[in-house]
Amino acid sequence: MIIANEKVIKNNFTKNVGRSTRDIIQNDILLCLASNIRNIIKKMPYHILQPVEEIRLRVNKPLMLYDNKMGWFVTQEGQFSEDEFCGYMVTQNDINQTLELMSDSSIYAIQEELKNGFITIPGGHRVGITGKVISSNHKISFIKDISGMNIRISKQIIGAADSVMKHIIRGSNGVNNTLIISPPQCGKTTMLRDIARQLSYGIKKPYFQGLKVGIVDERSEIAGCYKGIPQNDVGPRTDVLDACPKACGMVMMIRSMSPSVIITDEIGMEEDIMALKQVLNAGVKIVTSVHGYNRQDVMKRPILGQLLADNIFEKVIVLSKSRGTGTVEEVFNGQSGEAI
Amino acid sequence: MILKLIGCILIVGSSTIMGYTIANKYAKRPEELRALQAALQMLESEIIFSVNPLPDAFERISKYVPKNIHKLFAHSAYLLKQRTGITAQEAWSISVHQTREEMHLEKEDREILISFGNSLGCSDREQQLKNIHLACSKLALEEKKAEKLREKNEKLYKNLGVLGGILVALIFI
Repeated sequence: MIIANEKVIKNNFTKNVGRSTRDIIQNDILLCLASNIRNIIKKMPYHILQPVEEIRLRVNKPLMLYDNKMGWFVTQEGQFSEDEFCGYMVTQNDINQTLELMSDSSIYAIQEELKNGFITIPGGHRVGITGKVISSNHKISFIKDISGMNIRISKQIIGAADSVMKHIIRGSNGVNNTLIISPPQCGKTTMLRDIARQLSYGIKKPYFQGLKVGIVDERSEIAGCYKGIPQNDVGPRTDVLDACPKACGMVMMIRSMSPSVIITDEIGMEEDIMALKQVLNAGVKIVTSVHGYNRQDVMKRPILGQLLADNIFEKVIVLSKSRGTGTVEEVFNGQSGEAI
Repeated sequence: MILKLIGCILIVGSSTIMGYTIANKYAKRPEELRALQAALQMLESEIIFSVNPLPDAFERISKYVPKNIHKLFAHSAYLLKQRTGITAQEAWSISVHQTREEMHLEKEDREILISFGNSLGCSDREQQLKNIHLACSKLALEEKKAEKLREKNEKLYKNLGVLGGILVALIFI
């Protein structure tokens, strides 16, 4: 039996465990950046790069780095500046070169991913992309003239879900259907990833047996798959359906992989809810998240409000940023509405 | 007398080798052009069906192509796998230049390859397909020309080498 949080376990197949930001930037991010931008970031000392979460490239606009609070312009010399005129101006060429490097010089290989507006690079980092969208029959067929890029540095935080695990598990092998309500960038995906990991490994204290976990990872964020292989540690009993639309993914998962728990991110469409009910009818537990600020906010929305009214979720966790990313604002019982 | 004989043999031998080397160039060129077309067809299926990125595609192709064009693909794959910020176009044109000595291509063949490299990897599948077809048809045209040249010149240079050597030897005697 493998227990989570034990130092003995060193899983070399999952790349992102226990990596320093320095290592991530050097081995994942720099390799994908156009030479001009690469040289600027190389000049920056690592302690400055430590809290960086996003690297933003926009054509003819200054290069920007963001941490979880604010963003700075970056000058040619690799210094932060608050003045936009001092920043290094990103050119179209920089962006084209970056895209080519990100795709291993093979844009054709990522053209399907490009349609979704993001690609995943080795290390499981997600790169959002904007530009001119070419659509036919109401479907996006390609994004050309790419003008903006957002490189989100993904760091796996082991133990991010420690404080909420006691609400999610029930006994030694039961799981509560759980909904996480969180505004963007409050650590909801990080939390889901750690929940998946802990449920899959099992927990030592209080004793919890590892379960089969199925992750339906539509945005490739939870497991951060590159070429189908999770780059984050999501546990030994976890199966991942990468880049699969949630609704059909959940149904596929219960049909083919017999998971005990399904974990998925950002539900909200009508078909997601249908699939969710199907999952629950099959006796499979679910842990998922929605965008929202608090209970009232989610209640007001037609589809999600219905979901809460149906008493599907046993536990609801609300996250915020009030005391740093991933603050647990409140936990309440989804059926009785009592705060816990 | 012995010395003269040895001298004659050397002259005839070396001129024969010279003739064969030149003839060889004419014989090898169409062969390589054919191999290149086959390799590009492999690349097409790598791109369209397997959707492998270029470094992997090149590496796979390099395993199946004849020895004389092996290095072109192997070296491109090597350069791309280093991930030093080199694009596919750069890696390809470097490889084309580096394999200049080992391959028997003419300048116009290399130009076809380099212009093929210019849009390598930087567009969607359809464009890549068009690019490959264009390069293939150009190479086929060159192959026809090269074949004609071979028919004309291969025998000529072989014979010229031997006979020229004998002629020189006779003059010296």
